[in-house]
Amino acid sequence: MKALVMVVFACISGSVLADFPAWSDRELRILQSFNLDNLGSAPEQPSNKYADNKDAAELGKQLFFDKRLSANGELSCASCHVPALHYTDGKARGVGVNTTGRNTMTIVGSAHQRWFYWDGRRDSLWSQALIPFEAPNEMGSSRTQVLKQVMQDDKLSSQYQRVFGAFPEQLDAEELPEHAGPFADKAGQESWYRLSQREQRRVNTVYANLGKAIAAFERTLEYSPTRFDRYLEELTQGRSDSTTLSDSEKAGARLFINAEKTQCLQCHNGPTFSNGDFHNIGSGNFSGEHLDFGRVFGLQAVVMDEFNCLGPFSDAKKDQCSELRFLKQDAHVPLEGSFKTPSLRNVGATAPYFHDGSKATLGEVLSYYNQPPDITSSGAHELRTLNLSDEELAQLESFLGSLSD
Amino acid sequence: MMPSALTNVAQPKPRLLAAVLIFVLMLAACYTSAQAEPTPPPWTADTKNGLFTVTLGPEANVIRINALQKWIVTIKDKNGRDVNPAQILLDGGMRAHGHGLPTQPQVTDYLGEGRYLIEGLRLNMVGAWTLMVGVDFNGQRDLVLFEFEIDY
Repeated sequence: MKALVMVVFACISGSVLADFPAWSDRELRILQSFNLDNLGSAPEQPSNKYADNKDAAELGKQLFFDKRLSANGELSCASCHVPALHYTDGKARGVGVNTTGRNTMTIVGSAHQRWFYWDGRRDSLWSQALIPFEAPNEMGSSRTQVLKQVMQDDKLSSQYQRVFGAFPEQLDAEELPEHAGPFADKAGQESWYRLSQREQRRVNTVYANLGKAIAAFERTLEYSPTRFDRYLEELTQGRSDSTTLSDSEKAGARLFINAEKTQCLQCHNGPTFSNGDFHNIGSGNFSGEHLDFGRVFGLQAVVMDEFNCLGPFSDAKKDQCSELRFLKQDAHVPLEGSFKTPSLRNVGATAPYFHDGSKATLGEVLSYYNQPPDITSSGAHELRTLNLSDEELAQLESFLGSLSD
Repeated sequence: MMPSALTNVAQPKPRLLAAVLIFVLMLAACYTSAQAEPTPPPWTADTKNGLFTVTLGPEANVIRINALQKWIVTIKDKNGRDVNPAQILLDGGMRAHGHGLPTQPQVTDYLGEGRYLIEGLRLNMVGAWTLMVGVDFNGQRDLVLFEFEIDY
């Protein structure tokens, strides 16, 4: 099959295009590396044995949209992850009970990621899903409050037990504290630490399962083919005269993959347009109101997380936790201000950009990359000045626009 | 490039570990003339002082970008004999980009005939990479750098 594709590409590259210079063989290989077909289905999730359980996904969907699980009864996961906005919120920084410190990332295609949050402080969708309930600026609730809602709701309780079996013995919803959790507000934390370790363990067992159900739902949110994917498909079919992409968009794609002209491909590679790792683009905030050191603290957090792949609530064997086992734990300087490379799929429809939403438009993002900040003033980063013309920047922006479904 | 992953099938003593780290740091600082590796893996090269011959490559000899892969490193002495047990240091990165490896690979098994299994190595972009293999065998210490280019 690969050989066939290469033959087709070779034919295309030899053809005469009216306005746009033919793709070279190497360019075609790079374009092919973005093909959504190469992504495959979501990778196995050993730490969550319910990841592909349809009943779990249905329960997770109910939880995802349930506003009763927030402190004020007005917020759900979907308040920031809005389905109509590719599961983002269109805001610079997420707004829950209060404004958060970071831009809301999409969860479309998130099952293909290795690390979660901009700083990678969680290693699975299910462990990530447990955070917003208790985050004071997000849903402001607590794990016992969430459990009480689920256990005392006939439908949710029934759905839960169908998937995970009976609730632990000695876990009585009526006797649980109204508001207790290790990451809740001060009162909630004090209440949490008055529980015995056994009581905490029972609560955490159910709480982890709720995260696993939400993750099962989120795994169903896959990328849809985009206009760019359709263009790739047409190329493989020998339709070298395709006008699915404009000449400007094609020129932008050519710039995007040209390592001499741009650095895009270093981090934004593969079918998701992300290598899933952490890179320093000089966007860290080392002073002022929105202090944010990025990965350097996320690294420590994911290792310490009791809900990580190696923790007591994981369904994985130790040797299945490869990402954690081989995690580079050297918190070296470049990690200060490093953030996760976001996917570029649907990027044109998920403004604003950067970890703090500081760039309102793709044009602002591209201008930043074209003339990155001075390293001496912004700390270490990986960028170099590109010296792209205004026309080239416009071409890149138009290409990025073709990555939306 | 700071060595950051000392790995061994048998756990080294902390004092020895520190000594090896310092040793490798010194060697790495001195050793700047690395050989180019235009050919597909596995690659074979002598260590800087000729103490060992090291062969390095991914399983199935195909580098998959952005995938956590297993690699095999084979170590022979200058007479072609298997080197075992050895302490092996593996590190690397991209000189041009100023960053190291995105993961911390480890030697997890000895496969016989001087061959060691490395797990947890991910190369997350195309371009020029450097992998360094440091060897400590009965107090004989040496290292080799493999420089290679990944492309589409």
